Amino acid sequence: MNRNGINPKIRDLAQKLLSLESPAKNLSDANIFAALMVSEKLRRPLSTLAGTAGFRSLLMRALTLAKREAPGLDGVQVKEDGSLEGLNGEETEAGTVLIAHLVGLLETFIGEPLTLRLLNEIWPKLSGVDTNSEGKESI
Amino acid sequence: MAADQANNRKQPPTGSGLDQPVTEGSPMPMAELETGTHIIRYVNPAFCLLAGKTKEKLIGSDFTDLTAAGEDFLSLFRWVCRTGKSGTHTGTAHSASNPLYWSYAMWPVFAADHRTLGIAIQVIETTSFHQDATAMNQALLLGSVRQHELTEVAELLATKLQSEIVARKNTEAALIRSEKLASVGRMAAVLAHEINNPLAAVMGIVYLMQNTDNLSASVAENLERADGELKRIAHITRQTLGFYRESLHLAAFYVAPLLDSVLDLLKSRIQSRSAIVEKQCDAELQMMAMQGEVRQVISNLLLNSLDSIDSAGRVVLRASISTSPTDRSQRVRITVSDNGQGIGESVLSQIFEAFFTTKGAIGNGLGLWVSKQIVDKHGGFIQVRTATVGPQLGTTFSVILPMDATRPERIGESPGSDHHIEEEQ
Ligand SMILES: Nc1ncnc2c1ncn2[C@@H]1O[C@H](COP(=O)(O)OP(=O)(O)O)[C@@H](O)[C@H]1O
Ligand SMILES: [Mg+2]
Repeated sequence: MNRNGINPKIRDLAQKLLSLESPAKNLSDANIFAALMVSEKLRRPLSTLAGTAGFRSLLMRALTLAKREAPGLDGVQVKEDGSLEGLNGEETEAGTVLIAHLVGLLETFIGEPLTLRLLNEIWPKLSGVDTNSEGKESI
Repeated sequence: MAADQANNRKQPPTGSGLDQPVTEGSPMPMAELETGTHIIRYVNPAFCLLAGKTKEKLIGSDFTDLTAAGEDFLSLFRWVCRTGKSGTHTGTAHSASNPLYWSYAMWPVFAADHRTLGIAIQVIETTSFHQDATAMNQALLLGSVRQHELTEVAELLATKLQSEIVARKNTEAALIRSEKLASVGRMAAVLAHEINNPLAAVMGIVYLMQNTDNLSASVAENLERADGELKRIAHITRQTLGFYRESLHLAAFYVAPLLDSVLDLLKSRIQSRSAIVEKQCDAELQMMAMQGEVRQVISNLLLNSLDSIDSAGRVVLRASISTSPTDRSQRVRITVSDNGQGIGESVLSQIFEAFFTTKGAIGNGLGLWVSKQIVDKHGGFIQVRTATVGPQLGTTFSVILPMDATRPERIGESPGSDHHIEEEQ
């Protein structure tokens, strides 16, 4: 399970999502910032589909799993409405790890096709992104 | 314009710029607002349905009073008024746990003279989710997350259990092994015991035959060989359970002569190692025990010491009275001390195990095991001090026995341990 690390395919996918939300400027906390944006964009449709509490528990679980791999997430919390709080810092990997777990859980619960459909609806450009160039930059 | 607005607030919809025959029948909710004030001037039936209010209630009221219109709405509204362009927006109507999302288009309605008559709003889509469906999804998702957590806990427990099972199996295997060895050791001792009787008889017969007159040279030679082999057997049985004859009853005896008899028995062995063996014992020291068995123990310890030394080897055999620090009872302490190679740490923990030997084919690993059985039986204990390097190089085994073994309370110094291992490096 996720305890033994994230599967590389999902990690790639998370990386893609982050690259789509990366700020133009090369900020030191770009990874964290992008993760915040991705989570925020997922929050709306997922809360509609499965309620605020549903999304919140999903995000909290992803955060629990991610904290074990990325100590930079230690101060992060999920607010009552399902948004993230205390997400800052410069750890380059933390954001990717969090989003990867979030997407990973979604895949576990609703399956890959439905997950991809949902992501593609939010990020229509998703299927066209080249992960490799992005991957090298932030790993 | 201001007068117009004041009028319209109270009047039924007359001044709408929308083409009402078209809008009235549209399934899309539509409304028209006054520029600047966003007072509702017109709504179609579909809008009333969406808002859940009658036309009369809605017209003349402020659009922003409807929950759906927030800050986003206002900024778009101002922008449309200012620029005369059209725009769309997706907004949220926050209702507790199940937010409602809706998209709408907004555009200015112009009069023939390009004057702005009002702002039209058309609701393009609402996410008309059944609250039940959302609640159900939510429940399913919460359940899934919980299941995910539980699975992890279960996996963790399973791993822990697995390693506990392995650990337990290992302990069990070790126990079975030592128990097996112990029982084999007991059997060997019993066998040796059983062999000793006929052996003594056969040795007696050979002795008699050797002393017969007129023996041919070849017969004498064969008898000599037979006697040699029988002595080898006797030596082996002695090592495991020799002196059996005397071991059956408790008796009082002097310790010094007992030490002498052991030295005498091992005389040839001592000579062949050219070892110096020193005896220190008060001639008056007496004790009550199974004499043969005590001799067996001393002999086993002395044999081991002789094995451990090389040139310039020295062994001290000492017996003395000591007093128990706990109950002041009298004890006899017999020590066998050598300046041999000492016992390494890894070996030390196993020396009392049956069949444990570092001497390959010439060892049988029973000497210390048998000795410990005997000492245990007498209610005593064995101490070991050893060093493999330094000025204290060598090993001292101390056997502490109650002076009177007819009072068989155990005299172990610390409860729960029957032999003590001390190591000096
Ligand atoms: N005095 C000693 N010096 C060094 N090693 C000893 C001494 N006494 C016992 N040992 C170690 O303990 C082992 C077990 O001794 P024992 O039970 O008498 O069996 P054995 O003498 O047949 O090997 C020996 O093989 C040896 O390694
Ligand atoms: Mg021995």
